[in-house]
Amino acid sequence: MARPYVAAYVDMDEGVRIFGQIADVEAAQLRIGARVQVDFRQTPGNAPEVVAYAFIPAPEEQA
Amino acid sequence: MRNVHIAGVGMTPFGKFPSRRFEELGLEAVQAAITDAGIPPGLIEAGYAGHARTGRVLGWESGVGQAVLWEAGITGIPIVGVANFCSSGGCAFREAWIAVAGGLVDCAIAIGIEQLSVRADKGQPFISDGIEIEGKLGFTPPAFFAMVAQRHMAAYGTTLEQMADVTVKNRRNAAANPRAQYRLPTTREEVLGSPTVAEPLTVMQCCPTGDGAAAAILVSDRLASNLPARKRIRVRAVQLVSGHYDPRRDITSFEATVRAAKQAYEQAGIGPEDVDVAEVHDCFSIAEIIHYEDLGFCQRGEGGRFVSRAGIDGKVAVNTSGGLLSKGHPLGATGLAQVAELAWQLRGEAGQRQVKEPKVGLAHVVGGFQAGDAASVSLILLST
Repeated sequence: MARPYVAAYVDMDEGVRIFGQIADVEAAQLRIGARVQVDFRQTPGNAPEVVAYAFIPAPEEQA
Repeated sequence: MRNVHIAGVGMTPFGKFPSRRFEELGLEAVQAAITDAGIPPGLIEAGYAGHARTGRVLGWESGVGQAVLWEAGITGIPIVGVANFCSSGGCAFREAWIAVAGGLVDCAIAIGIEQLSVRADKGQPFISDGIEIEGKLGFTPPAFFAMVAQRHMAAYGTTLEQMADVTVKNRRNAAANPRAQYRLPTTREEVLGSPTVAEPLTVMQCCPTGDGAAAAILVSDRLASNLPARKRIRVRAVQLVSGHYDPRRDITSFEATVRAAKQAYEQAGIGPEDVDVAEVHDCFSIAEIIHYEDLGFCQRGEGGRFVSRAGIDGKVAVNTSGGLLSKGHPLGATGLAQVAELAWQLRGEAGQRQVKEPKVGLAHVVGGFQAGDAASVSLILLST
């Protein structure tokens, strides 16, 4: 069984929107509008093993 | 453009038929449409076959229409495959409409067909062409519509219960449709208690894959005059658009649906308030809710509340067939199965799920993804 993962659209400050996974966070802690930052890693969910970008909570969200 | 009428429709039951050949499924729909129209097959002058995944699943990228129509003894005429994601059936209808409306022929057949139960990669996400990279990152149709649902809930207060009620309504309709894939009535509790696919969407809020075929025969005024009056259905508008893909768009609305609907209403000279019965692309429960808004059946943000007004006796009877959620979704067949349901409704032949004397019907399919937006939207308006 593939593990659950968090899928999201991220609106970048530069104006584009990117689809990706959000890592290192419990889904229940997320909210629409939360700030995130990019990270590069093995994608946490789904079957194919690819190293790609993911998003993690920005430092100000962890305060 | 000339007037175009639907002379006959037909479809197979939708379901999983791995032991049947796709040609058989197509033949069944074609023969049903020919019988319904009561015309000799030799009158058909052109054929258009909608199919989205026969290449990947069956190894048939081309020639599906020829293979099916050959079994029906229809040869020699122009036959073209039409591939446009989940809107392929609606697009095949549009090609047949163009041929008749444009004066090229007096009679054309549109076929939609798909057989998904035999695919080798069963259980894996079924994603559209063009989003392979996003797919590896975890993008799937349920994931996308789960994001739409989360956003709609946050923006407008749409509830889990309202989304579940879409499935309950469509299952109730499907129970009265002998051609539907899922016919057991269900409850809000059962829908919400089924396993989660992508939060907040449970599996009973996601349409199944399956097999099936549907067909419609379109004719000019000249041939329509030979039909009994109760059989005649007028094609009032046919619109097809692709998306504009605004990178910062509001994902609780498909701009392409709004645009296609506006164009169709203008073409027909009728408005959303005139639509009595509609078959819309409810690939997920939340999708039907946003379509209510995009098609103008209710105000923006009111979709969740509109579910209770979309039953057989409602303001607009939506997905009387059971919709994609319960009738099933053999991709290329869906748009023409919608047309078949509308024809039966407008003629008063829909049996236990009949809407009271409907005059105007709307068919709507959404296909594919491009830059996080709908790649293709097909809109058809029919009237008695």
